[in-house]
Amino acid sequence: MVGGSVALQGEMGSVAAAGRNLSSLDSLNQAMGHLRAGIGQVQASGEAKALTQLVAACRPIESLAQQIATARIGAGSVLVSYASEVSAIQDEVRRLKARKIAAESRRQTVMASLAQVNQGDPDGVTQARRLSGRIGDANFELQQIDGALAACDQARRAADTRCANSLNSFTASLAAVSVGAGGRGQGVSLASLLTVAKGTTRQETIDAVIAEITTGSLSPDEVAKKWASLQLVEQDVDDLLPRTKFRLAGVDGLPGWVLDMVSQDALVYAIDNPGKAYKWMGFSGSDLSQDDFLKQLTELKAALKKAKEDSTALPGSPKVQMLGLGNHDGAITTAISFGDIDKASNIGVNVPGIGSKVDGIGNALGGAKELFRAANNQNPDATYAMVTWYGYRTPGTPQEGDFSVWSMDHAEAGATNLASFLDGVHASRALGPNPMPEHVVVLAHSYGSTTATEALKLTTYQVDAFVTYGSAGVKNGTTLDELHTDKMFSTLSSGDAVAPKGYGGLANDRVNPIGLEGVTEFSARTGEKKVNAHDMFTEGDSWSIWNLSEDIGYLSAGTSSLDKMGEIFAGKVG
Amino acid sequence: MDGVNVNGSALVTAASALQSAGGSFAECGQVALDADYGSGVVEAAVAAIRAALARASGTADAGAHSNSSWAATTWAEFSSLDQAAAAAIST
Repeated sequence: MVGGSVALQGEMGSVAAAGRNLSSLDSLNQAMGHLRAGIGQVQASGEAKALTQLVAACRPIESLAQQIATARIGAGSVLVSYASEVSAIQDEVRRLKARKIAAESRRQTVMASLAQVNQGDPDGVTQARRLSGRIGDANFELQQIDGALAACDQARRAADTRCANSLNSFTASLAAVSVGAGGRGQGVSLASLLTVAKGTTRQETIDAVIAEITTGSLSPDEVAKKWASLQLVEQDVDDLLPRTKFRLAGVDGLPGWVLDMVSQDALVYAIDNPGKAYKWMGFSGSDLSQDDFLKQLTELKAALKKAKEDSTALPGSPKVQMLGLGNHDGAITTAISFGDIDKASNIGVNVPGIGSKVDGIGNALGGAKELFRAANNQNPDATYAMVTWYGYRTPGTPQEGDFSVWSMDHAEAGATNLASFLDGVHASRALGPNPMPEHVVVLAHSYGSTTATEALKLTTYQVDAFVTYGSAGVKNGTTLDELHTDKMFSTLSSGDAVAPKGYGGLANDRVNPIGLEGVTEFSARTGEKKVNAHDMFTEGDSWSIWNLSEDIGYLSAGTSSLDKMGEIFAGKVG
Repeated sequence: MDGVNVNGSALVTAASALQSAGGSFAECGQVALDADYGSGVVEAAVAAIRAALARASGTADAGAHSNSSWAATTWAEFSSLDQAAAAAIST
């Protein structure tokens, strides 16, 4: 076959036109217009549950039409590109063929001249050599042109193969989607539709909203609005799948009662199914072993049970809520409240520091109980929710070989979570059935104050007061103006030898928050008992790695620090 | 009673719109792809996708027609229920 003849086959103008026809969606758009109008009419035609099934039956047709549109546009584009590519090849073939004709003509002319040369003449010999050279050049050029024409044929075959393969892939995709599409309502009894259809549609809506709010991309305000739009009741939340409950247990902006239900259910499920829960919550062996995971959850469950028992001895026997279960940087997170966060007039959030893990939350809950009681003593007319927030990975202790307490890393990572939690409480209350809380206070111990200070730089909404006690220091340069709090209070006991090690010197450039302009200092050593340790809370005879004698912590009963924090929590400090 | 109110004229309009959708789907499955491709493999691939498009459009067409028909039937059933209820009340 003559070189270039393969490349020249076909008329690419008609191929491009076919491609454009394929890409044109006029008739498909018209069909979609009618379909959507039909769906709209069905939706507008009444409340019958049967109609929702009809709408649902039309949806796969929309989806199929979209697939058809995608295939048509894609295949049309392939054909248009193919026509353009082949046209270019064909142009090149035509140019090469013209060059070939010219080269052959020149060679003929030179050969004719050579035939007339008198080769017996010395000049004739020279002329014959020159002409022979020109014939050789022409032959070389013809050889080059034939090679180029063969390459054009090869390029055309390659283009054909690529085009066919692309078209076949669209064909395959269409074959895959057309099966089972275009579903219809026929064959389903009216009676069954009346009972089933509406429920199915509602579940689909719930699923879609939950999928959206668990992506982590929505703000607490957005989460609260989307959740509120569902108008779910306890039974609806109870009916959610375990995996869904795990996802919701880490979402800020949900009402407290929802977080409580999903978190407690997730906790029980995790203890019964540790392997599955460990994976669902995103843990790996390098973060926390599965054995430690189960051990910590078991301790957490016991602490929650004890908190429920202890709450009966608190004024008003407040409800105990579990407000989360999650994973932050390889640590289990949670929050437990004495009091109903959806209803309380006064909300306190206590943030722990160094070495705090959920299996030790029981001690912090002891302090929370004392805070609840102290505030209630100051103002029995208020209602309280005292949250113990274990929502971030705290630094380990230097005794364990972990020196991260001197860095800001854990504080900055935890600050995002705390800010989200605080804004979530605000967002949920703003859309809930109860009045907004009158007084919101953040209390933070040790490295928790480092974290909370950074968090209050990030929050959208203002809190009423921020208290640090036994602070491990706050970022140097921090000013009260940066913090979204109306007031700030701070205490450091002279008996706490540990807290000052958290700032200054060569360790870092953190500072004691008591030194910040505008901070009100209060004493931890003017009460019946004097704080003599770094502990958040101690009860009776206790011992810690920090103090070998009997310790008295900042939230221990009888201390002036507890009394003052109770006053602040109660909203009694001007 | 909650959940059974039906606007008949809207349902009839819905049936008509779905009928039209069906017709348009059938039309869009008949795209003109005749051309001088000059390549056996490309021509075969075009024929295959044309058939797949016709099949998929036909499925959509059938679905739209079927639902159009069902919309009309549903309206008839509701009308029938309505009449039965009216008869029961009047007796």
